[in-house]
Amino acid sequence: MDAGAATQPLPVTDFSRAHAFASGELVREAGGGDLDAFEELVRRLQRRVYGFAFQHLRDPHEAQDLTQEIFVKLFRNLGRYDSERPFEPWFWKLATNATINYRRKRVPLPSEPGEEAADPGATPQAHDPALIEALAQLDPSYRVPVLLHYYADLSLEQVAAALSLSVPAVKSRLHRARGVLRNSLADAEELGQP
Amino acid sequence: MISCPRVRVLLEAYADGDLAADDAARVRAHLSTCADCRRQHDQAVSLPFRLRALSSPAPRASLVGDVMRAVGAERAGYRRSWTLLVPEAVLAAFILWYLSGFDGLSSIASGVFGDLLSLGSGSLPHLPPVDVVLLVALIALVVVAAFHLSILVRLAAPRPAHE
Amino acid sequence: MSELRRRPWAWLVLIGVLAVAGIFLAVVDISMGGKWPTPFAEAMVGPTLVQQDSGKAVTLRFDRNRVGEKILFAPPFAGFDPISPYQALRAFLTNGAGLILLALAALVAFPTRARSAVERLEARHGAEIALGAGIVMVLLTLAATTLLRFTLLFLGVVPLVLLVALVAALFGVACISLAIGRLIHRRLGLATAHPLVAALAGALVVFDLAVIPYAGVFALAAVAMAGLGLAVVTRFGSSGGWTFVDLNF
Repeated sequence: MDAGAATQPLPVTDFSRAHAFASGELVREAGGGDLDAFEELVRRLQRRVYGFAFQHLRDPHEAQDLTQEIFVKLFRNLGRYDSERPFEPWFWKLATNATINYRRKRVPLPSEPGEEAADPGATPQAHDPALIEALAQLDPSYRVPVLLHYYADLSLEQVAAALSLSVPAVKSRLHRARGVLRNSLADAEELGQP
Repeated sequence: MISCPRVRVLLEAYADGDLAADDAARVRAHLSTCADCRRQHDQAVSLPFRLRALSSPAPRASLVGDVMRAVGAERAGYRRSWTLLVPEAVLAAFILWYLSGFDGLSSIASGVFGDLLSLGSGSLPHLPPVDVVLLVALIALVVVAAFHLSILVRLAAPRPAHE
Repeated sequence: MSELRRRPWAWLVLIGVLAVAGIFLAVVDISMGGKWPTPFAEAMVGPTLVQQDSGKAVTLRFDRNRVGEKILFAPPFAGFDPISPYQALRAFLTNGAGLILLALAALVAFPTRARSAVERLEARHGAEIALGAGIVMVLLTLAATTLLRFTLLFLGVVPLVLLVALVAALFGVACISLAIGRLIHRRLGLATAHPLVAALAGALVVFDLAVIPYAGVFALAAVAMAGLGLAVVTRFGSSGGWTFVDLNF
């Protein structure tokens, strides 16, 4: 499998421009069965969704798989989207569902940093390997809200809608997750890892 | 005096400004004295920024194409699955007609019901007369129905049909 | 009107209306007699035919007090059986409510699986796929069972397969009840209620459809087939569907 265009990491700040992406018209057309509109929607969403999937799974092939699954699920459920409500929270709720239910196709790669460096074309140099490592150790039910809020830039209300939790519950989960991450990072520092 | 472990637990809420005023004052007082906890506090504050700064590679160029292919395959599969009902209906109608009305059917039905009731009693069920044509038709129907079912299962599967 | 619908007791009113309609339809169904296979009136509660003019009355099953004979009404049209509301209520409670409770129990016991199945049902073409799969499963089961009985192969499997099909249909009907409840919630704009309440409303809708005098049997067959198809196609609502990924380790 080729590494494709996987050399230039995309900083999250680029996503703020993408906030205007999913116009209601496009979503309505895609939901009506217009395949070209759906393709355009996929094109606009793919970076963000793939980024989220990649941070969650840390494997480019699995992330591609999960991204594809999310988009197929989007296609199947677009007919049920109520255009009165905002698209983003509904979409991320769907994506979160698919992520939580995702079953890995391959045996998960061992999460030692040495193994990742063995395949230089596939994963870029991580700017923050300690945080990546700590995230990988985090329980998925904590990792997903962290990624939704800090990486995909969803508001607390949107995260709460995506996870079917109350806002205080999301806050407490985020606090706890950050505490765990902080402890992992502190332990890693003590052991002298970069 | 508030203890270090207690402060550590409250650090995230303190960093977000979510603590009540008196708790926050106590944490602030502790942080001014304890260097370890101050270090932890710096970590807690910087963590959201580090999380936001995480970078991901771009997806493969073929991603959009793969998705559209999977979606197209699903639509085609859905249309195909309905057309399979035609040969099934034909075979089923033929079998029904061949069994000449309800006599054969009722004997099969009563036999099946008897199977249900006599779970494990072991008595041999009553059989309608066997016939090669009927056997072939039944086998054909089973094969077509099984194939049809596999298509429907793949349509409903969470993963896209096209790998 | 729309504010009324948003009150929490709107659901209770709806369920009450559905239950009363169900009992009324059961009364009509019983009085129309056993000319067509009616699944509910006779299945467990027993026949309702009571001789009206002669002195000798047939005892209703399990009914030593013979309360049912005391509450009989003459049929409105000739050729119909006597109207027995007591019998109808018993039929409703035994068969209808019993099945509903079974279906709701399936939801309580397997909430994650039910949710996964309902998600698939509500997605694009979900209902058609479920119904189609149900029809195919019925054909497949009938044909395979007949084939096995001819060839005397694997006969021990047959009752087990039918039992599994029954369980699958029940699970599927539970999911369909929940889906209907959610549809009612969306279309009528009712206030958010406990999911079991929505499922109860949905199950009552299914029951009411089944108890319609002549067409009810076909409606019940369609729902049962769709339920069977849904259970099979989603592997009882498992998140992975039918897959060999887990076996490949």
